[in-house]
Amino acid sequence: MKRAAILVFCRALVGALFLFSACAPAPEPCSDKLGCVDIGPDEPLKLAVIQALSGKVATLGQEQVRGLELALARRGDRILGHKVQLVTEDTGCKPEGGANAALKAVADPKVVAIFGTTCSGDAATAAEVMSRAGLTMISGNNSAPFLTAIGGQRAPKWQAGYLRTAPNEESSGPAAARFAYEKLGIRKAATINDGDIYTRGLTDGFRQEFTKLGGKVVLDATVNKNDADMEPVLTSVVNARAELVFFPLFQPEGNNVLLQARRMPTLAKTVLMSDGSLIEDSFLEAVKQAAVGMYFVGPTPPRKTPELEKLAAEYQARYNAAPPTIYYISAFDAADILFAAIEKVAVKGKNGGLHIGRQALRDALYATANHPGLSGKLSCDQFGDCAAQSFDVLKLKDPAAGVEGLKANAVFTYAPGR
Amino acid sequence: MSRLETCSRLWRNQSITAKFGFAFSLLLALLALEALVGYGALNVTLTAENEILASVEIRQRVFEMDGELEKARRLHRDFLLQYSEIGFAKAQEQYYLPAKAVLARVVALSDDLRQLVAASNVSVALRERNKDITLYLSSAQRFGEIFGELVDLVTILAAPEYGLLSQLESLDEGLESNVRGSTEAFLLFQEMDRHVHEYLISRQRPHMQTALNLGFKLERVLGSGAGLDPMHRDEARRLLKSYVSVAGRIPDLDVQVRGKFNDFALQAQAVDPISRDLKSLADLEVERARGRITGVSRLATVTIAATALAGLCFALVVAGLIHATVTRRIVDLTRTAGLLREGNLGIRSEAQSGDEIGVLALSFNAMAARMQDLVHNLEANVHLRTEELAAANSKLEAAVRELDEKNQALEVTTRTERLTGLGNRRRVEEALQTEVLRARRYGKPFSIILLDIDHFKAINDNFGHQAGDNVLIAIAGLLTRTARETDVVGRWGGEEFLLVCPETEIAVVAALAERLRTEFTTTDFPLVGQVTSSFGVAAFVQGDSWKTLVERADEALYRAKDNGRNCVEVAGDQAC
Repeated sequence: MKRAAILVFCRALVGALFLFSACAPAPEPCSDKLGCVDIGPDEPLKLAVIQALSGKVATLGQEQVRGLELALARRGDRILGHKVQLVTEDTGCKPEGGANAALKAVADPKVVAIFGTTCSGDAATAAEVMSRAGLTMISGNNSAPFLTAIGGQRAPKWQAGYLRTAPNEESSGPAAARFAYEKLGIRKAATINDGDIYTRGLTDGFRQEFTKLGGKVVLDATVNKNDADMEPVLTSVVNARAELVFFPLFQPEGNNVLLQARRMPTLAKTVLMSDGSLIEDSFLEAVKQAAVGMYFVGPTPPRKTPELEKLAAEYQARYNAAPPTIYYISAFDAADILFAAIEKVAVKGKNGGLHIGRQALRDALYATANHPGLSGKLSCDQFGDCAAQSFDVLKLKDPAAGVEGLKANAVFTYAPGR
Repeated sequence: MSRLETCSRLWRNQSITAKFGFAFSLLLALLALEALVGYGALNVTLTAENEILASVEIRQRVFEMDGELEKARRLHRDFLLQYSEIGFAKAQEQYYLPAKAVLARVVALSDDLRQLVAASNVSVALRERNKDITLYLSSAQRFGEIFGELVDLVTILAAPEYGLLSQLESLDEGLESNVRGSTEAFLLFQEMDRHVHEYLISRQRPHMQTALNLGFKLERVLGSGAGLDPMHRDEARRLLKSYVSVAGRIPDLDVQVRGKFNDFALQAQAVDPISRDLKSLADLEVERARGRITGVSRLATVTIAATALAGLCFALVVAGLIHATVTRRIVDLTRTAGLLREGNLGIRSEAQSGDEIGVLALSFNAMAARMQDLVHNLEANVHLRTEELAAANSKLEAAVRELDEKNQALEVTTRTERLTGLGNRRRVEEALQTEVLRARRYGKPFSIILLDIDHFKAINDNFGHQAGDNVLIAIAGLLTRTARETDVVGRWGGEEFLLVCPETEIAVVAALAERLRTEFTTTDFPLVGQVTSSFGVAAFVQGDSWKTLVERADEALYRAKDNGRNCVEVAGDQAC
């Protein structure tokens, strides 16, 4: 009887210890200097997605999300056996939107990384919040030079942990300037930005390169987002006697500049040039013939490969629509190298949980080299740029041919370093 | 065999110790269960109370935090409303600096709140809101930062004297006074000024761009002279350049200011639901904890009541089982033992089980059977022995009777003279001895008569011994018939006879002796004829022994002999 009682007691003790150990698993030790994200065996892996999902640029934000989803689908919607939960926030393509969206993302200690943003202005504020919190953020769309590096030096808005697979448009402005100066013989140019660091970065790059080439930027104007009346600024262009207007604006400001410029006889001979933000079917459909003869400077599209066609087919199959831009490809690449880095650094616990060091994740992403991305080989540098810089100047001949027709008509390519 | 029967058999086969052990173990287990339920209920109640306290504290903190943030917002709003009226420095002192202090408290409160939620044992839903509290904290910090940046922007834009608006106003006045001399220039200036004011009202950048374009035209007019004197013209151009520069900066600042306001709005969008949800969650938490207390109390009450009821029922069942399997059988066994004691040797206990009582009952039954066998055999033996004893007794009684007869015969033989049948000398001596002792003790008189047949030798010689014996027998008969019943008559020796007369004075005895003498004289003895006897009579005198008494009677006899025989002589007296 005593033996039975002792046996029962021992079993109860062992059971209690088992339950205790099951209920309160010892946390994995974290030696990462930025801390760790611990994901329980049944918990999803959380990724914050902060993109511009409202307004005129929502298409671009949506393309980013779709690129991410396609990359995730390739992994069966799981990373290391864990479901992936996308915590999505809309930045509204505004700096304050980016900051507040990032604040929400970093408030959750289970968020492993941030996928975003769409607009560079959002990225600057979001990256600051993100970096301070010790996270990693990667974008497939931001291209403003301010975010990473300018002239081989750390850019003013650089933040540790921020990376991108969209090419740094540090060379976009210079590509436009070179084309304008060297191919079109333009000597006086006007630039119009919207105050955002993306557009300002492009106009600054243009101005610097154009001036360096010997030209003169006679007007460096700014319009506000959502400004509808562009006549005053175009009047300034007229007054400045600019031969070319470089206006790397988004919709609808870009649309308004183009359409109102076409209505001004004094600008009939003025060359109009924008950038990749208007290389969209929606823009071409909106402005139609007014865009004929207009130039666009944008990243050189990736070469058509079977892998790329396969991704396009997956896009078509999943969303029942053709991709409106090519930026889903860089989004796919951004997500792909992020997932690869997570898979590389995550330590899988005995219970199936994951233990991810934040600095380790950053380091793994920065160490990305010769990754076979669909937009080309990706190698991330110390500033967070992972894509090679190569820009085409495109001239629109036939709006009906759409973006594909426009991209097919590259009149100039600028690829520094090649 | 049904399961019930199996259980019943198993139960019956258990020892009493095991049965009691099992019963008390189960009762103990029920008690332990009740104690456990009570402890658990108490524990849950305490935990829930702690949760309520924590939730109330959380709610209180949220209220404080929210109130402080609202206060900061009011200060921020008041700053923007009042700085133009009360001055920038005063507005900073009254609104901005207090707002910063309030925001620092909000940050501290939200940090405390986060730690409180993390440390307290509140619900998962509330704990998961910790990230929202972190967001609240971050947003509060950002509010402070953005407020600071906004103040900086507003300072650049609207600070008295050195703010862009003040500068623009000052430049506007100077420009107006300098271009007043040229109608074309003045009209352009007015139009430009109007667009600037339109911009300041609408904050639509095209107005400012139009104003700048007009400034461009004005510059061209001023550059062509415009009918102004060189001093005013140059001053106007200098002022216009500054004016355009200042005016051109204002929309950028406005964009930034709007961005800050937009930032505040986004913060409010993010933060306001958090505090609202936290309050609501804290309320829910309190309700949940209260509900849990109620639920647990009910459950504990029901469980304890059910356990108590089950315990009671179980105790009754156990008592019944113990009664059925132990007590009743002990009573039955006791009753059976009583009946056995009363002689019912055929009684047997019906207790049949594998426990000690069953073993005891079996032993009892075996013992009873053994007793019955023993008693049965004993009766037979007793009967046999009784019969044997009766036979032996009869024999013994016969032997005793025979022995008595023989003893009596022996006694007679011992105390009776064989010829005459009178007491022999031993018998007479015993009688003398007895009477002497009685006379000594009680002082009673007694007397004796000693007689001797006269000339008896001659009778034997003349008639033969047989005749002499017949004389002796006849005299003995005569003495026996004459003597009283209480008198002892014996043959003293030869032809001498002695009569002991108890409680008789000597005179009476002397008379008796005389009557005997006479009787002898008158008796005709066969063959012999007349025979006489001489008598000596003596009475006991204190101090006598039977011998002295007999000696005195003998002396009297000798005197009778001497006096001629056939007479009676009394000791100490002359009768013949």
